[in-house]
Amino acid sequence: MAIVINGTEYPLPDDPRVSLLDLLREQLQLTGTKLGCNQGGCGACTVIVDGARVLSCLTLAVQADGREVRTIEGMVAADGGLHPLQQAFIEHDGFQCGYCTPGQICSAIAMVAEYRRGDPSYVTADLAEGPKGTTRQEIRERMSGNLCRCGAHNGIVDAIEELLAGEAP
Amino acid sequence: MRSFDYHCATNPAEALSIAGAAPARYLGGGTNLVDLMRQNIEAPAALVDVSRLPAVIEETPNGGLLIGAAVRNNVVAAHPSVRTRYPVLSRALLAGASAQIRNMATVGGNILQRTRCAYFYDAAGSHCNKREPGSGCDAIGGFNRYHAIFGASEHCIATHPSDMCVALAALDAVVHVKGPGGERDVPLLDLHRLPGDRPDIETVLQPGELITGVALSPSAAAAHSAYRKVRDRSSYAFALISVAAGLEVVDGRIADIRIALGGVAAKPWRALRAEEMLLGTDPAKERFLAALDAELAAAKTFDGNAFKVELAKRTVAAVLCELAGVNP
Amino acid sequence: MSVRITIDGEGHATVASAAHEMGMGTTTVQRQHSADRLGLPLESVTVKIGDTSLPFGSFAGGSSQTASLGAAINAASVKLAGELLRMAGNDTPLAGLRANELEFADAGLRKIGDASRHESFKSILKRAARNEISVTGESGTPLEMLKFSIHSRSAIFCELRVSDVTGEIRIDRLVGSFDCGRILNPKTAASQFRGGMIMGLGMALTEETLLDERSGRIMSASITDYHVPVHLDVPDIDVLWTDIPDPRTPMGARGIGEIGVTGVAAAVANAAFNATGRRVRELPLTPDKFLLD
Repeated sequence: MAIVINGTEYPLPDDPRVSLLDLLREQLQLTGTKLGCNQGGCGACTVIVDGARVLSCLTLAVQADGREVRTIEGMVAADGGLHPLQQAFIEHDGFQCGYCTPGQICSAIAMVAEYRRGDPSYVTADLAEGPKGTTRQEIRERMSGNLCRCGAHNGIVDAIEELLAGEAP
Repeated sequence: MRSFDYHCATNPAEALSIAGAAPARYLGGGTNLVDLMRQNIEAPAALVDVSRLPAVIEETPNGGLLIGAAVRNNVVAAHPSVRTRYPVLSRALLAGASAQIRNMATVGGNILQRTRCAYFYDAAGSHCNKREPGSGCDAIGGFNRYHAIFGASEHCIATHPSDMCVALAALDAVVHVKGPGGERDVPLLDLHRLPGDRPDIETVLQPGELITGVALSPSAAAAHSAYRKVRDRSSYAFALISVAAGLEVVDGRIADIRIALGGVAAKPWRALRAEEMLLGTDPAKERFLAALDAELAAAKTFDGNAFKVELAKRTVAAVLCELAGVNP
Repeated sequence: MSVRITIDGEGHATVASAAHEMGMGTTTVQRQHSADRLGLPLESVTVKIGDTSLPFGSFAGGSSQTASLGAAINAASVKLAGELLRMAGNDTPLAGLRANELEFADAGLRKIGDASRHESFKSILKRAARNEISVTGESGTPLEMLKFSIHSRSAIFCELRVSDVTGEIRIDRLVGSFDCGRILNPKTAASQFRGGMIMGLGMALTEETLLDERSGRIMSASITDYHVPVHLDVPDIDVLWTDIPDPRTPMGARGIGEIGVTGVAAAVANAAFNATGRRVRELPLTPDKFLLD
């Protein structure tokens, strides 16, 4: 029983009650991932498991056995500096208090992959065709699972738009 | 959260045998059950993780689809065959929760999710017959804006929160179930129970029974279908009401019509009366409205949710007009 | 509100107060302000806040922190100039000047407008054989609250759609214009205005505390039941401001933390009235209130 987090393998907790979020924060001191509502209502705890964004507060750590987890600590650019989206958040002032930011960034990075794969959203006009181009409405709907109480939404969407306009990885 | 034993099953037979040995709950994505356990509303002695059972969407001999119970909600929504042949299902799934939750939630778990009634959740200070049979229902006489207008009882007026199930109800989906006594098929419309005097018993599933998949039949109405969800917040909110509808018009007459409502009952509500009135007629807004009036005549409202009657009527009519291509 | 300014032997200033940063830009803005006031480049100033071991700070609220912290920095800097002058002694280009004839410039003090009579912090401290100099300044109740009544103003404009089927309101555009004195940092100010306006959107459309009077229970006590706006609720928001300095405050600035919120619900309700003819006076403006005849 093991889990890979940002490329490093860790044993799973013995107690199945431990959430993936608590494993990260309390046992591995990976405190970049934030505890918000702890009930699936805010998105602050978003991490990427096997490429899919999920809520770590509602994931039992044992359920992630054998899976690969990426957290905000694993988001780095090729040169070891900030991930391009982190840089874009700074440039577009995509946060005030910063508490929702790790969740927003993990969510957005996985969302870009969903978008490029052609997955539809509730606001996609043509379901069969999938999303056409990138629109701010599409970004907004797809990011609606990440709340922001400071109201940095415009800057967050600007930053993600910039990431989407860039080269596909 | 209270202690529990955790077992991960790799096939349905294994899941059944583990569940048979101890009082257990099946665990899908955990988006509802883990939350309820953390709130001490559910406290199973054991969890049998069925989220790793084979998760495939396959074509069936009759030209339909069989969706495995462990398939994640977003995978169903994005599946090309679902998008083209059952758009109402894709849209309903995409209307639900958030992308993160849809990536976790399984089809089986979505069907078996429990109500979001705030009184059900408020274990510390509210009465709820669903949570604690016999304790009373604080939603009656309380805040009941989100509550049922059909099929409620003096014991419970909660609604079933799923969007997906509303689409499945419109599609006449059949739920495949495996249990200690063998396999059986349950039409989705018959799976959830109305509260009556036992609102804590929410489905017809027997202890130990496991949902293994959902079967969809092909139809022209399924391929020409839509979902509309009305909510306060534009996304990431449960429905005030929602509508799943499908329509087939042949030679100017309605040859097949499916109307299901969400957010109005403890189960997805199929508007059979309205369907019956409209079958064989030519589609027109006035006729839609009249049929809905007949359907909604049976509604029983409370202080907070009386608006749902008018809202449901208008929303269904608008969706049908759009599907029929007639003036709204 | 108290502020301690410390300048070390390398001429680096540390500005410290038990004030708060919740993301609104306190550190950034006061660092800019201090650098400007002390004649230092930005990189020569460190702002320390958020610790009760630091000089007393009042709470971040009432749109008061920026102005009162700024006033305390101002008061401390006046004391700093006087103490540096004393420390400089007679063997300095500043000799013979009085404190009120001095200004901070080029990492030191000089005679107002006269670059030839200048001495750097580093040089003054070195000659005095000191490692650092530290002063504390305080700000009291601002003059504007004692003798004057000066208020910020805003006007909010909203463009929206109301569904004639469901009564759902969706906001397409939002513009906020503000008269709040001098704007100290356009980027953080714009973000604060926008943030406030988005809280106003929540107030207008979705946020509601439900108190069950039978039990005293709050029935919208969780973030799943109490709906703050999500990304899809928030349109692009334009903000603009007059940037007219307030003559009664030290930086000409007033607080901007709350004014973004205040006008939005009224603007939304007015726009919804213009769209539908229905005057709704109870927030939030949920779809059931706009099921039109």
